[in-house]
Amino acid sequence: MPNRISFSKKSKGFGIIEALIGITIGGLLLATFSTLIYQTIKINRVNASQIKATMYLQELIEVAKDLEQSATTTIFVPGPTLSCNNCYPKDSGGNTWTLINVPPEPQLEGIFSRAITISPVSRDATNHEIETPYNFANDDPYTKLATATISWYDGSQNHTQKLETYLYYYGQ
Amino acid sequence: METVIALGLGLITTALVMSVFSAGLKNIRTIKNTQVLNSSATFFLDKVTYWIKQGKKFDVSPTKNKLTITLPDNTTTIIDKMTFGNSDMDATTTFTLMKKSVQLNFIIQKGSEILSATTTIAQRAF
Repeated sequence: MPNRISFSKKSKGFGIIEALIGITIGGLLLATFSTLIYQTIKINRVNASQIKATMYLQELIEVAKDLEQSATTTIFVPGPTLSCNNCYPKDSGGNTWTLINVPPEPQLEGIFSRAITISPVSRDATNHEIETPYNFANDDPYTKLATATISWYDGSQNHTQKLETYLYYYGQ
Repeated sequence: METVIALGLGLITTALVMSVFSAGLKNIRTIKNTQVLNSSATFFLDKVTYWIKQGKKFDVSPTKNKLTITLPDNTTTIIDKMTFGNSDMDATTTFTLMKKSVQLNFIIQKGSEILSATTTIAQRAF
C-alpha cells in the first residue's frame, strides 16, 4: 500500500521541472528565430546601402564620361598634372558638370563619402600599352585614368568600393 | 501549487511567444518590402542605363518625370515610373538633362519602406 501511494504522488500532474524545460526549449527556439530575423533585416539594410553606394560611385564615373565628351580641355591636360584630385561632381548650372574639391562634399545621406581623381597616363613608346607606374617621358595627353572611391559605415563595419576607367579624347 | 505555477509560466510564455511572433511577422514583411525595393532599383537602373547608353537624343517632360530617348534608328522609348515594372509599389522619378548625361532621381516606396537615390548615366561617346 505505501508503495502504491508513493508511485501515485510521483506521477501526479505536470511538474514545474517539465514546465521549466518546456520554457527553456521555447526560449531557445525564440532566440534562434529572433536572431535569424535580425540578421536578415541587417543583411537587407546592408544590401540597400550597397546598392546606393554603387549608384553614387557609378555616378562619379558617369560624370567623368560626360566630361570626357563635354569638357575635353579641362580633362585632357598634358603632362603629369592631375586633372582633378579627390573631387566630386557639381551641377554648375546650364546643364554642365564640374569637378571640384573645395569645399569638400558633405557626406551623402550622412554616411557616404566619395571622391574621384583623374590622373595622367603614359604609354610604352614601342607597343603603346599603358604603363604602370606613370612615366612622364611617355605621357599620353589623350588618355586619362579616372579612379572613383566611396566609403561608408553601415552601423557595424566600414566598407570601401573603388572603380576605375580610362577616359579617351575623341576629338570633339 | 505546482499546477498553478505551471499555468502561470505557461501564460507568461504564451504572451512572450505571441509578442515575438507578431514582431517577427512585421519584420518578415519589412524584409520582403526591402527586397522588392532593392531588386526594383537594380532592375530600373540596369534598364535605364541600357537605353541611355544607346540614345542619341533625350527629352525631358516639363514636369521632369518622364524621359524620352530617341535611338539611332529614330524610334523612341520612354522612361518613367512605369519602367520599374511593379505597379504594387509607389514610385516617383525625376530627370535632369546634362550636356552628355542624364541625372536621375527616384523614390520608391512599398509599405513603410522607402528607397531613394540619385545617380547619373552618361551617353556613350560616338
